[in-house]
Amino acid sequence: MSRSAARELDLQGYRDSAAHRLDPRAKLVATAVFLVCVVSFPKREVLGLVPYLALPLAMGALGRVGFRPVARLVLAASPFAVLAAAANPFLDRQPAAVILGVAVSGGVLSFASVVLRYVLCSSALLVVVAVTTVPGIVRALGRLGLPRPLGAQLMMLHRYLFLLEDEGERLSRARALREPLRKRATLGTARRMLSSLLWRSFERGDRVYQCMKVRGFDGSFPALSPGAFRTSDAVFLVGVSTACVALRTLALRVAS
Amino acid sequence: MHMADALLAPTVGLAFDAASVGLVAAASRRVVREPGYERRAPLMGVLGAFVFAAQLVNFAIPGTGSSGHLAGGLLLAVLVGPSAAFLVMVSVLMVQALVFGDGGLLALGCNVFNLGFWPSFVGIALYRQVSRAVPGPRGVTLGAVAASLVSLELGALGVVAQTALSGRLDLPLRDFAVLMVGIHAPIAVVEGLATAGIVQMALRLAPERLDAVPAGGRQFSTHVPLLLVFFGAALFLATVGLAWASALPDGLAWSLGTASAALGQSRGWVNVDAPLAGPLGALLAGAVVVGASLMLSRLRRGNSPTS
Repeated sequence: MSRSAARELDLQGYRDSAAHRLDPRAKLVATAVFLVCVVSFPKREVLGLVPYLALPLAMGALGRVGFRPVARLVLAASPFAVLAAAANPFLDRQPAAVILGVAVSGGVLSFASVVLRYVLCSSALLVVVAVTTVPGIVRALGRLGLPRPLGAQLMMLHRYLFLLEDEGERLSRARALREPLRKRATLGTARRMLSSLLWRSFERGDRVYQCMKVRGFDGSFPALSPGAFRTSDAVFLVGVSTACVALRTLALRVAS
Repeated sequence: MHMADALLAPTVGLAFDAASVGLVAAASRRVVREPGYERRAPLMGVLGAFVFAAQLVNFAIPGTGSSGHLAGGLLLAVLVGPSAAFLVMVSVLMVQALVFGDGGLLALGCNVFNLGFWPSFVGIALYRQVSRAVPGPRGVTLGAVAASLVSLELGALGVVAQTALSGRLDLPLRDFAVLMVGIHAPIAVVEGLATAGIVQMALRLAPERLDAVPAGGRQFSTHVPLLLVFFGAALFLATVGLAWASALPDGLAWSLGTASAALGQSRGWVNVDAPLAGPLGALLAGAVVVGASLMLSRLRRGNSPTS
C-alpha cells in the first residue's frame, strides 16, 4: 500500500509550482533547520510543536502535494517510533499538567509529543521530496558536498528502485498463487526466490553497465541545467529558518 | 528497526550524523580506488534496488510464528566488498527516509551506524574469518549466521543506546535492551541462513563474481573476530531463551506494542534478574568501544595517502 503512495509522491516532484521552482538546496537546508528545531523541544512539549505543522501544510498546499499519499506513508512507517513511545503513559503516571480541567500525566504528554514530532518530521521530509524529486535532492546534496560515488549510487538506486520492486512483487505473487494455503514463504522457498531475484539483478547490472558504457558513462550524472540560487530561494531559506528558530525561542520564553 | 527523528535528541542525532559523514567520506575514497569500480557502479545501484525488492519477500521465522525479511547488509558486503556495501546501505537508508518516510533525515546517521556500519565492516570481517577457517558450505553458513547475529544485535543495541541518550522514552534501559536483543536473535539467525543460501547459490553459479570482490583493505588481526564471536555467542546465549519463550508474533513493531502494554500492567514483564544487567551493560559498552576503534582505524586508513 505504501509503495503505491511512494510512487505517487515520487512522480509529483516533476510537476511545476512555486514550491517546485525553489532551489533544492534552500528546501533541504530549511528542512534541516525545521527538523533540528522540532526535535530540540523538551520531552513533554506538545503545544509548542503545533505551530510547526504550518510548514508541511503550507509547502504541500503551495506544491499541490496530495494529502493522502503523505498520510499513508506517515501511517505506514510509524509503528516503531509510536509503539516504542506507547509505554510512556504506563511508566510515567505523575500528573504534569491540567488540560480543560483534567489532570494529564507526564507519560501521556511525552507520548503525544513523540507522535506529533513524528508526524511533523516525516511529513515535512516527504512533502519536500514531493516538490523536489529525488534526483533534485541528490544534486543538491552533491553541491553541498556529498561524495560523488554516493551521489552516483543514489541516482542509480532511484532509477532501478521501482523496476526491481515490481520484480520482487511478481515473485511474491507467483509464490502466493503456487501455495495459496501458506501465508508466508518458508525459509527454503524464500532463499530460492531471493537467489533468483539476485541473479536477475546481476544480469540487469551487467546490461546496464554495457548500455551506459556505449553511451559514454564516466561515473557522473550531468544535469541539463545546474540551477542558480536566486533571491527568492534566499528569502525562502531565511524566512523559514527564522520562523522555526523564532517559534522555538518563543516557546522557551513562554515555558520560563 | 529504523530509528526515527521523533525519538532523538538533536545532539545525539547530529553526533551520529557527523560520524556517518566521516565514514561515508572514507568509504567513498576507498571505493573509487578499488579495481573494477567503474564496472561495479551500475551493479551497486541495481543491488541497492535488489535490497528493496528482497524486502518484499517475507518469510516465516521458524518457531516464533513471526515473519521477517532480508536486511541485506551482510549479503551486500559479501557480494561487493565492505566499502561498496556500506555506500549501498547508506543509499538504501537515504531512499527509505526520503521516498518511504522510514527513518528520517536527522536519524540517518543513527540508522547508517545501526544498519550499515556493523554488517558492512564488522560482520563481513567475521564472516570471512569463519568461512576461511571452516571450509565448504558449512563455513559459509556458520560465518553468515555468526556475522548476522553480531551485526544485527550490535545494531539493536545501538538503537537502545541512542534512545537512552536522547531521553525521549520512559522505557527502562535494561528492559528495552533485553527486549531488543531478544527479538533480534531469531531474526538474525534466519537472516544469516538466508544470506548463506544466496551466497552458496552465487558461489555455484558465478564464483568469478565473488572472486572479484575487493577484500576491503587490511585484514583484521585474529583477536578481533574472536572477540566478536564472543560477543555474538554471549548475546545469543543471554537472550535466545527469552526470545523463543516469548513467542512474539509479527515483527518488531507489534512486539514493542505488546511489550509497552505489558510493561504498563506489570513492570516485571521482562523478568530480568539483576545479574543479567551487568553482563548486558558490559556487552553494550564493549560494543561501543569495538565500534569506535574500528571506525577510527578505518578513518585513519581512509585518510592515509598510502593506503
